[in-house]
Amino acid sequence: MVRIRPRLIAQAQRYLNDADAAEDTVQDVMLKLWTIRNDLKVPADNLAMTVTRNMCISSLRCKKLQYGTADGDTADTSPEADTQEHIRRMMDIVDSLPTMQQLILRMRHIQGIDIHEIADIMHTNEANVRKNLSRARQSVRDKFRKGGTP
Amino acid sequence: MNKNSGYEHEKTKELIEKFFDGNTSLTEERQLYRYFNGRNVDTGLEQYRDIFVCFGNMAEDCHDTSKQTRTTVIRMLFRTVAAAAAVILTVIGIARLEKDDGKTKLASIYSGSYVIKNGKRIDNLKDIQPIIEQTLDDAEHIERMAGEQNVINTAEQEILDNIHDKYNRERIIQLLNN
Repeated sequence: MVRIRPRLIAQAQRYLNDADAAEDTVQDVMLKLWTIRNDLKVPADNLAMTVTRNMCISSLRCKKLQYGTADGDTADTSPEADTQEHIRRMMDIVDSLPTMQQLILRMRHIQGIDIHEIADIMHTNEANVRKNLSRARQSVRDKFRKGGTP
Repeated sequence: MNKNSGYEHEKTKELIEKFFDGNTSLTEERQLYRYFNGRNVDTGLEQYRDIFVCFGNMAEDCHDTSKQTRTTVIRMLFRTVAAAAAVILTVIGIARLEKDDGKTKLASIYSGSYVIKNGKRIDNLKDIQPIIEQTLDDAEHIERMAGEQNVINTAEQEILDNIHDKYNRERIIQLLNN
């Protein structure tokens, strides 16, 4: 992981255009991978690069949602504002999922990666990926229905 | 409710179940997102609308980005490989030209040469020319082998030096190091 860190930072900087934000993102990536280190198979370079990309995209999306509304004073009650709020709530729920489920859900839903490719990146089998994806989706559905507080 | 909408309702319900079992394909997932973003959502399935709109929005922006990135990277990779191939072919072409030129000079350079074979001295240039040429060819081959490896090693650096855009250069470096 120490070896690949400079590459991850360079990748994050290309997306975020901000050295500090890139460092923070890579730190989060390292932390996430550390929590699943027992399930990780080496080399984990591809996985680390994919996760970094995912988190950069999430971060950019969050910024877009945060600064997307025009007027700060009046409350926006349009359907679009509701959708934005729902998306924000869903992303909070995704962030609270167990790391493995989170990674797989992000790879599938944010990057649109095929199941067999996710299995390759994570050095596991398709059945395991589907199982984690199923659990993640059901968790998101259940928490979202309850009111979405992670 | 007519037969068609009843059928669609059942099909959509099956897809939803498949989705939460983690068994849908990307195409089936896009079908679900399109359905729930439309106006004709069955009242029995209304409870799923918000969640599928959100899932659909997660995917929306990023597929284009990834396609763009992939296309750009593939285009750069082709350019790199083409440039490296051009450099190598040029060097080999120049080496061959020099060898052809050398052949015609052989007689004038090596007149007076001889070969001792089975204890006998052979002066006739016509007879010994093939032996001299073979020896020179062998030496040149060995020298070229050593040179080509150096060309391959420096080709990458030459290409990188000619890319002035910092962003593109970093992408190429990343590709070459992968």
